[in-house]
Formats: sequence, C-alpha cells, structure tokens
Amino acid sequence: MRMRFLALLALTLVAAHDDTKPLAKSAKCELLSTKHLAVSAKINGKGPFRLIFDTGSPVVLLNTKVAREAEIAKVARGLPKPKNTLNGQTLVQSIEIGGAKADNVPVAVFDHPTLAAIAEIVGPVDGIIGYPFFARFKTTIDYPALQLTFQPNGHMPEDAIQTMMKALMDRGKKRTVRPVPPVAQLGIEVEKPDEQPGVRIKTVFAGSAAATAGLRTGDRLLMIDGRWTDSRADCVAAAAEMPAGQGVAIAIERGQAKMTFAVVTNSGF
Amino acid sequence: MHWRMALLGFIGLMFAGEAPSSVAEPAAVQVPYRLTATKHILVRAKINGRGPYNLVLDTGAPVVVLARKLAEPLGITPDGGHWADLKRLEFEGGVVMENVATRFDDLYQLEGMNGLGLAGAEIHGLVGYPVLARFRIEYDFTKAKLAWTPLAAKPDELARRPGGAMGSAGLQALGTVMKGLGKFLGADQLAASKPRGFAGMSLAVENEQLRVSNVVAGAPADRAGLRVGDIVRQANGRDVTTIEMFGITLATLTPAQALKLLIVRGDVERDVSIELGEGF
Repeated sequence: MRMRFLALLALTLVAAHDDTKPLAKSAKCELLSTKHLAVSAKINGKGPFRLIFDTGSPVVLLNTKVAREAEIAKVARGLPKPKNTLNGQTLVQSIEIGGAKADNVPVAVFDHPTLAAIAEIVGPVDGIIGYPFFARFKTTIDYPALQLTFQPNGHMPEDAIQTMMKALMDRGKKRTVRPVPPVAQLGIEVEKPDEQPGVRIKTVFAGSAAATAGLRTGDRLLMIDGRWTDSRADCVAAAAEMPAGQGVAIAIERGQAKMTFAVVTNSGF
Repeated sequence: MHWRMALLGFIGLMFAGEAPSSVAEPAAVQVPYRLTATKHILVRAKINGRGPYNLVLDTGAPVVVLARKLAEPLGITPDGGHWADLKRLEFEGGVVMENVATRFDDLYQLEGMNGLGLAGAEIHGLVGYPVLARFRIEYDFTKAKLAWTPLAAKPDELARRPGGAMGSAGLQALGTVMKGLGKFLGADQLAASKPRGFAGMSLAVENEQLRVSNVVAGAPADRAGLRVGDIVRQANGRDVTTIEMFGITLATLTPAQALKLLIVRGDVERDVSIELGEGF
C-alpha cells in the first residue's frame, strides 16, 4: 500500500515536472581524430549531414552540397527574409539535431577550405553548427559520454553578423559608458595600491551593508559572488551583477586569513 | 563575403590527432562568462597567477592556444617556439587546472577581431578540447554563469606538432590585413567600461513620487546634504518618476561627475548637486 502510494507520488512528481519544463533532447556526437565534435543534423528535413559542433563559431555554416540537397535556396523563398541580406546569410526552415529542433535559423552557405581539409582526414564534414543554433537551448556538452543535450530556454539569439556590422558602423562614434544598472549596494570604496590580487577596501561607510556584515577598512577584497575583483573596473562590473536585498558572497583577505562574508546588499545607487 | 568569413573565423578548426575515454563526478563550479558582440563565449583566467586574460571557449579548437605575446610576461619559453605547459590555469569562478599543454601562436582570427575592436574586449586565446573535455559544461545564455561539472576522465590529447602552421598562409595574410585596417580606423583601443559614479542613496516609490529612503552616512549624497524623506523630481534636468529612470540617468555618469537633483523638502524645492564618488 505504502509502496504503491510512493510510486504514485513519484509518478505525479514526474508528470508535474514534465508540465513545467520543456523536455531536454539528447543527441549523440562523435569525437573526430582532429578533436572536433561532429553531430548528425537534418536541414529542412533533409539529410542527415555530418557537421562540426563549434561553440567558437558565431555562424552556422553549410557547404554547397548541403545547400543543394536541402534545397536551401528554394525553401528560403517561402520564408521571411533575413533583415540584413548584405551579409550573405540565408534562412533555413529547420535544423534538427537528435530531436532538438530550431526553426528559421540564419546560415551561411560557403565551401570553406579548412572544412575541406578536415574532411580529408576524417571523412565527409559538411558544415559547422554554431551559436545561432545552440544559443536557443541550454546546451550541455558531455565529452566522455559523447552526448549533447539541448533544453529549450526561450533564448532567441541576436544575429552575430548584424551585431558585428552594427559594431563596425558605430566605431568612431563617441563611446557611451556602459550603462551598468546600479541597483545593489555594498557601501565601500576601494583602491589598487599594488599588483597583488584583489583591491584594498579604503572606506566602509557606516551603516552600510558592508559595515553591517563586518567588512573593515584595510580588508583585501578578492571576489564578489565568485567574480574576481582585481581592479576598480572589475569591482563595478561584479557589483552590477549583485542582486539587491539578497546575500552575496564577498571573499576577502584580512591579514593572513581568507574569509567569506555573506553580505545582504542594499537596494541603492 | 570572403573577408567576413575570415573575420568570423570559425575560430579554431585546425590541427589533427586521436580518440576519447570514461566518467565520474563532483559538484558544478559556476563560471562567469561574457558573450561578446561577435558571439564568442569569453571567460577570464589567470595563468601562473597573472592576468586575468580573456579566453574564448571553443569546441572547434583541438588545443589550448594563447597569443604569443603572452609568453614573455608569463615567463614562459615555449618548446620549438610554440608549446609549453601552463603550471596553473585558474578560471574565474574557481576551476583550477595544472600542467596544461598550450600552444603559443598568433591566430589571424583573433588578430582580426582584436584589431577591429569588435569583441569589445581583447581576446588572448582559445580554450579548446584538452580543457573542455574534462568538464560537462552547460551553456545557457539566460544565466549569468556557466555550470562546469568536473569529470574524472582524462582526455587523450593531440600529438604536438612542433612548428606546424595554423590554417593556410592565405588566411593568415588576411588576418594581418584586417588588423592593419583596424589600426587605420583608430579602432585598436578596446572599449573599457568605466566605473559608474556612486551616490550612496536609496529610493522608494511613494504616491507616484521618488522618495529618498536611505542616505549612506559619509557618502557623496550625504555630503551634498540629501536627506531621507526628500522627494526627487529631476535628475540632471530630466523628470524622474521611477527608480529605473533614475538609474538610467545615473548609469551614464562616472566618478567625479555631478548628479544634479531637483528635490522637494517640506514644501520647498531645492537643488542638490552630488559629486559622485567611486564606491559601490
């Protein structure tokens, strides 16, 4: 009876879990002798094609053989036009890897000589799966298991080429200061008197979050929430990521002792 | 088209070698990262205690690569001009590795991106297979950190290839051209984010007004005479009615700049000029 109840409970929990999260899809990959990962992907429902899985690639690249077999040009005519046609990219209707599917993905069609060179060593390789595909998922890479897992996370990546072109256009314009959202506050000032790791806390404002937590003038601030603070710019960048009103791990060195404080930040500017 | 492809550089994609191994597992380490304008995944690492340096996580790189110019400041003399073991490679967030075989080289893709200032940060190298294969890594761009779970398996590494050129000579040459162009356009100075100014004050919305809810003793707002209970009407000439609007105004100001507030205290309007400080 009790067993059955537990089993039922477990089932219910599993079902509830399925309702709340989109299912993760796994795909096997191969490790090529060149130490690249290769996946088997369907493009526009055609294939599969053997493609290199590359977190360092801002684009999805397909060679002209894939373009032909997946009828990329013909299918693209029925799809919304990419915003920037200057960049030589086109859309494919779908890319599917082991049950994980992304629709309307920008791709570049190009016979890249480096890919051809790799193909000579490892056999046919027809392109590269890069950021425009994997950024749409929580993507987990497990080398020993030779497994990739894709869990939809609602992230819709910007187009790398467009953002780069924009960055090029904006060059020469007056650089605006990065608008760091100042929401959480520790209440300290720091200085960088030497080249040692971290910065020295030169002021702890009375009544501030830092003072309440026990930080002191002269402490060496090493990390804010796991981020290095080796310069003032580092500190501000790390502080900008702090949640307001919550505990943040502040790592310091005091004399010879390393300590970590949980500082509950103030919301402030 | 050609130059753009070179620019994007499927960073990595070079070399040749062998096969994999098996599994085990402790807890995940949370590694902060930044996504560049070029959509590269950048993490920070200290090498032999120096740095931090900006490195791209790149499954397309069969090896770990560092820019050649880092060898000297790191006190490393690579074998045959290219290879050396890094005694200690520490990634921000707390991943520490020892004796990591690394190739010192100048990649045209990195030179191109650095030359044009496109990534928004100087990129010092690539983290490839020999490091990446020792972790199960979750890449989720809706989160501020990447989860790295250390794995027991030690990957076989590529045989070293002393001296070997990376990529074709033609592509190398193109990288140099890109770099030259960047210099010509004056883009070689990379965007450094300036620290924002610090006021030492908190706000709350009450009756659709911004009320000062806290002033840090001794901080710039306090020194300028701001008090708890003051109602903030304008910041640097702009009407502000929400904390977000106030934040946007403040985000563009750096230390030593003035934040000019129009406030109401009692029934009297006053100007308060806060000389922003360097706190946070």
